Amino acid sequence: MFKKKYLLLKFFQKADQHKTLQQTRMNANSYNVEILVERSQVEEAVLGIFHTILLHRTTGKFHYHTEKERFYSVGTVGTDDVDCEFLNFTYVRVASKVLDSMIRKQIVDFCEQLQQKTNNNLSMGTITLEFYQKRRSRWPFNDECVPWEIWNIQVTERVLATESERNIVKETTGSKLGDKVISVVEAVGRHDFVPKMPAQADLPLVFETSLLDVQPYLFKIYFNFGNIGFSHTGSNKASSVGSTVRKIFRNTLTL
Amino acid sequence: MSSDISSPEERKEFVKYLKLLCLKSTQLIVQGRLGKTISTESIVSQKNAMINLTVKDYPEIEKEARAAIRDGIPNKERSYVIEISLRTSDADSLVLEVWSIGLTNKCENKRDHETMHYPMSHLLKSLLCLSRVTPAYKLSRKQGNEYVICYRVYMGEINLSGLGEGFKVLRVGSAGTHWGTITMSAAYRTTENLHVSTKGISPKVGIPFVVKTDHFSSGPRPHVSSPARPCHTLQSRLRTFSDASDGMQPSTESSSPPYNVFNTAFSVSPAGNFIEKDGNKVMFTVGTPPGGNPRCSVSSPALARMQRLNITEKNNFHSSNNGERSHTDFYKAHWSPDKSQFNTGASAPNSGFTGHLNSRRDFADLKKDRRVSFPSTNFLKEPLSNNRKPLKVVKPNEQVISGTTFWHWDATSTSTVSPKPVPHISPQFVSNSEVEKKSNSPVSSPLVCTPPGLMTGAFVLGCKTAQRAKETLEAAEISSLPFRDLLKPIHGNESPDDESSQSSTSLESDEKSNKDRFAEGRRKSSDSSSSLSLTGSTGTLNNENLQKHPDDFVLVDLKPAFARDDSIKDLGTFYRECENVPELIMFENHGGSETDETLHDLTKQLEDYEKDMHDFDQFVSELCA
Repeated sequence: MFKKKYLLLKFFQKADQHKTLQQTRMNANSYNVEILVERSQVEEAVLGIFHTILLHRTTGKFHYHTEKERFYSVGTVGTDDVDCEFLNFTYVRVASKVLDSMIRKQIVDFCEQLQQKTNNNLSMGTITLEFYQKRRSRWPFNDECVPWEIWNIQVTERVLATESERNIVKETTGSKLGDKVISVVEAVGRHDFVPKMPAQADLPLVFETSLLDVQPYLFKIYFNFGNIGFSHTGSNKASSVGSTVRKIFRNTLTL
Repeated sequence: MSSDISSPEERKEFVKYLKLLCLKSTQLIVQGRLGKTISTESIVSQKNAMINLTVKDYPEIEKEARAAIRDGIPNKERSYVIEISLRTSDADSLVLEVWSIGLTNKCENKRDHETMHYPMSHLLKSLLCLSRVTPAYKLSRKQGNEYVICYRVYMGEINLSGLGEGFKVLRVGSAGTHWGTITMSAAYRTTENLHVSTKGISPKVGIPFVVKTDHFSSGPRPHVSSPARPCHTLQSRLRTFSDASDGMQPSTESSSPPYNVFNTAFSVSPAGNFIEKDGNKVMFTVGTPPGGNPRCSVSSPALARMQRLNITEKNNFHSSNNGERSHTDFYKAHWSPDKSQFNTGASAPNSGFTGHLNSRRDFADLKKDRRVSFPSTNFLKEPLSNNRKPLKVVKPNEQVISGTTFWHWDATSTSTVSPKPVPHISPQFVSNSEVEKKSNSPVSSPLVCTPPGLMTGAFVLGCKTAQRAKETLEAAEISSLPFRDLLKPIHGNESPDDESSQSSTSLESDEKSNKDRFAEGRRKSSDSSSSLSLTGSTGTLNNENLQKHPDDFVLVDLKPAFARDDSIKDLGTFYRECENVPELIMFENHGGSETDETLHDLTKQLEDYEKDMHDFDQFVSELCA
């Protein structure tokens, strides 16, 4: 009995988190970027956009004053110019190999899975870069992750047969990607919402402190495939959670 | 500006941050135009860092930026402007981008938790990202010997006139403060309105004509606090490439980089009146910039330039190479960097300038522009305005009195080519020396027609080429048919052998005469490989053939294309061998001198075979049995 109550409590917790998550995602600043690229250009195009966003969402390492914790100094963020190989485009990224490897790994996985879902030389998928902050919860609840900014990159990948077509696309896609970067920078600069600078104790709730050289905001990357729209419009999931909870209630009461 | 709300310390901090923003922005933009990728390292513990972005400070750029903000920070009346331009080796420039930092009156609500640190850093990061997106960045990556990217920093009004039409405006970002909103924006020339290409012509060193020190006027330019400086000179580029670190040496400001001469084609926006709709381009010939003058303004009248060039070097227009250069200088005089377009244009066919200039703008419109005066289409008629010395053109039937002679091509006096009798070609234009010699004799009639396929070209008068052409034409007039002088007329006093050779009926009776004839033909024949044809009862000489067929084609000397000019061997030999019936091998052994004997032997052999025919038949029947 106690075990069943515990399981019930867990379900409620997850449902509550999911509902909260849906609400907070709907309240979060969401930006959608659509790109149409050739297969070999997917990785670099997504990297260019993600690095541009992360550059604006990364600060130097905080060094708090030992005596006065409200005061802190900030390190500086280095930058690298990266020339794309399959695109006539250059983007700027944070000079941090660890950070680059973190997002590159996710993007490569996305590209590989996107290639497997090709249908008639065309495939679609959405990769999302989500910035969130953690909120402390009381036991037994875990800290909840509250997104405050969501970037959805809807990628339409097409496969070109000839090299001449790829060369043409190389030039045109570079200029289009430049326009996307301009839009991204303009959106980032709106300062709609940015978490407040935390105290030293709350620093891990806002920033990713595992990196040694830079300090980006907490973020995560996930993706899905197909033309199902963007991830924050998941109203069907809320109804399915509600029906599941009702089933649990019925099953518990019948016992 | 609500300065009453804030304290003086906050105001001081604001000024400090704004100046820092201007300095760091200049560093980021100019470094992004060096032509290579930039990398900086993240510094974990940076003491007293006012912004959380690592920016290297180049001393030269720092100096220029500090000079621009010496008089104060940007305000609503003036902005901090960074102008990026492209400059070719002949000091012609094209404005590519104009980045500006301004302060508006609008005071946004400053977030309490934010210091100046965060918005300034954010602005610089946005600037860094967007500086790689504009077309000028791609151009800067390709800069080299053909052109360099220059920058100019000043405080004042933003001047976008150099961008031409169709430029785009880019909003980098803004930061709200109590004293106004700091805005950062950029205006850049789009790729549709910008195209720089270079021709792969081997560079030429030196200028064949004298260029005076005042070749480019040093007139004042608006809102200029310092001349445009190259982001990366050639010298410093070479040094930097050899160094591991990214250190830019403070470049010398006086000397301009040593550019080579080459041809550069520009095509600017359609607002340039000299550009035709079909996209014909104007060609420049780029030379070493004179006097190390870093200023890019060119506003001297074309006429004054032409005068200077013509008065000092009157022979410059003779050669075809200089002819092409002259009209490029002519166009350089009209190049207005302020407007990024030509102020005037030239009607190329009428004015006789060869090359690629295809503007069809009327001179009537150009004459209205007093600042750049330009002669009309007909140089012969109208005097030149704003000239220091009058140009004088020699007309036909006119004697040269004094002054400078200016040669140019007057298309109105030429006509189409006529294949029929060519009159004496009279030069339309004369030089001073020739005119002095012929001062008493009137100039001959104007050119009416020219030999087929030949027109007297521009800038050809008075030189050897024209003389040679004249002589060739006169020689060609003599004979209307080619190689006619090689064909001798048929006379009655030819050798009596001709008459006897045709009437001979038997070989034996004419054996002697044929022998003599052959021997004579051999001696007369200059080609040892030529064959004697056996035609009927006689061997005829080549000359006899020519005489009997005077209208036939005579091969004098065969010079095949793309082959050695050696008529003795190869194709010439083959042609001669095939021209006549080849000599029989049986006659080659004897050198052809005993042909009659051989023929007699053959006949005798046949007679002998006929006698023994019965015996041969018996022998064959015995074998078959």
